[in-house]
Amino acid sequence: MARCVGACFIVPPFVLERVIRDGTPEQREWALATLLDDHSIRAQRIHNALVLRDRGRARQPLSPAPGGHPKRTIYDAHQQQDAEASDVVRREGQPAVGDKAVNQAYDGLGSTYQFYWDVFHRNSIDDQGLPLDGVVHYGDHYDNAFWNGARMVFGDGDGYTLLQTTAAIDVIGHELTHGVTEHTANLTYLGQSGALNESVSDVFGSMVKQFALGQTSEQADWLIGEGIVGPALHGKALRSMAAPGTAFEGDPQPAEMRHYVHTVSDNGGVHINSGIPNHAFYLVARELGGRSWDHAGPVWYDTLRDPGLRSNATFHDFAQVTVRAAQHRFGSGPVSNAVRDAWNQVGVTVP
Amino acid sequence: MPCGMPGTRLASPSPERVLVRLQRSGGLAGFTVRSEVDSAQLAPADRAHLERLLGAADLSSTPPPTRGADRFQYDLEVERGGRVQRTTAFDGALPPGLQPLIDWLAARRAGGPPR
Repeated sequence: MARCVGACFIVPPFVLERVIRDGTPEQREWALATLLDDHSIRAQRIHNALVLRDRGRARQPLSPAPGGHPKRTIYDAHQQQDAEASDVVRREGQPAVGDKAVNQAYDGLGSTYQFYWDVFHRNSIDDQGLPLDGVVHYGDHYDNAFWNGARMVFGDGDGYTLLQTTAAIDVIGHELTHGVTEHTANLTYLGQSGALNESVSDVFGSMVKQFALGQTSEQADWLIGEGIVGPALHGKALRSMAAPGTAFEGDPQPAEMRHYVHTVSDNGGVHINSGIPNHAFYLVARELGGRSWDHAGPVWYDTLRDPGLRSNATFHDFAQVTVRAAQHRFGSGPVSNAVRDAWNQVGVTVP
Repeated sequence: MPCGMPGTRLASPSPERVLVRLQRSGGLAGFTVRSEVDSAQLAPADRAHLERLLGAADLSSTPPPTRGADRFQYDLEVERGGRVQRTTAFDGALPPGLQPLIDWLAARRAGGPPR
């Protein structure tokens, strides 16, 4: 069917959505082209989410991408705080090198890519095969790892509060997932939407670890950053999804809404209040049993790509979409009931 | 959120007492770390060094918005002669001259607790 412009813009978005979901391949191509001609953010979000959703259900993609293989490049910042001016130390397919942090970053990015591909058929951060760039040895005793909008950056730790940050596969999954969130729901990094952004990274980071270890939700430790905490923390990890607030001495994370922390630090407590949605995911996974990526994971993944999830979503908004996503994927029954019950248990009331 | 509150570049080094408070929050771990320096408690050489760092730091500029996640958030407060100047900045988008001041304050913290 010929691609039309102008008059096509009067077709309401919900009609286009229906055509994309249920139309013939020709009709779908026309509807997608029409949406692409509308440069509004809403239209782009609908377009992206629908394309991604289709791929997640293994339907015939419009333009098949080969996928299934990461394109990793690891850079060495040589203790400088400059993620751009760093040397390439290992490219995709090259053998392991003598530097442990380089190999940990390479392997962790590979495991994370594999998780997203095997479970959700997602081809990298943008689902278009975006190369994965990791930077190690960033800064001098730098006690942090972060996503800078293009690269995953790992510090060596100060040896006191934080150790080498590449040593935890869930942390690598956490950072890469920030990229996935940016390319999907794009949750604003402030307040409740920021805590959701953080929680999504913990949820998927934990699943990456469980997937790599072949663990069920009963076997998993549900810890974030186990193995990279330094002696000063007197703890086992940075966060606990099973029991927020118990990962180390003075862990400030709440597990329920009634203990929500109001603060201007940390972008409004994004690493603190993420304990609440983290615990909700844990409760769903434990209630359903088995592997977290079989039921709970897909519900959260569908939620992240749902066009109805706003960038400034509150916990309540997010919870509502998870229930809807559970019903859509698994029907009304044990999964959607478990999702609703979990949110209610952490004090986010969903009817 | 306090974000890039307007202020002016501090005057050149003076013998006035100055209090500098720095809070670092966020990052992957989400720890909050605080540092405080009172120039009256410093040796003359350190006091002069602090004044040089403050003189070089542009606390009035508004840093550009940053992409990404898990960056450190810095909240800096400089109190001098009853006047308090505050600024908030994020790692990777610090105002000119602020990094050396942050590094110096962090080094002086000498292994305090992370919270």
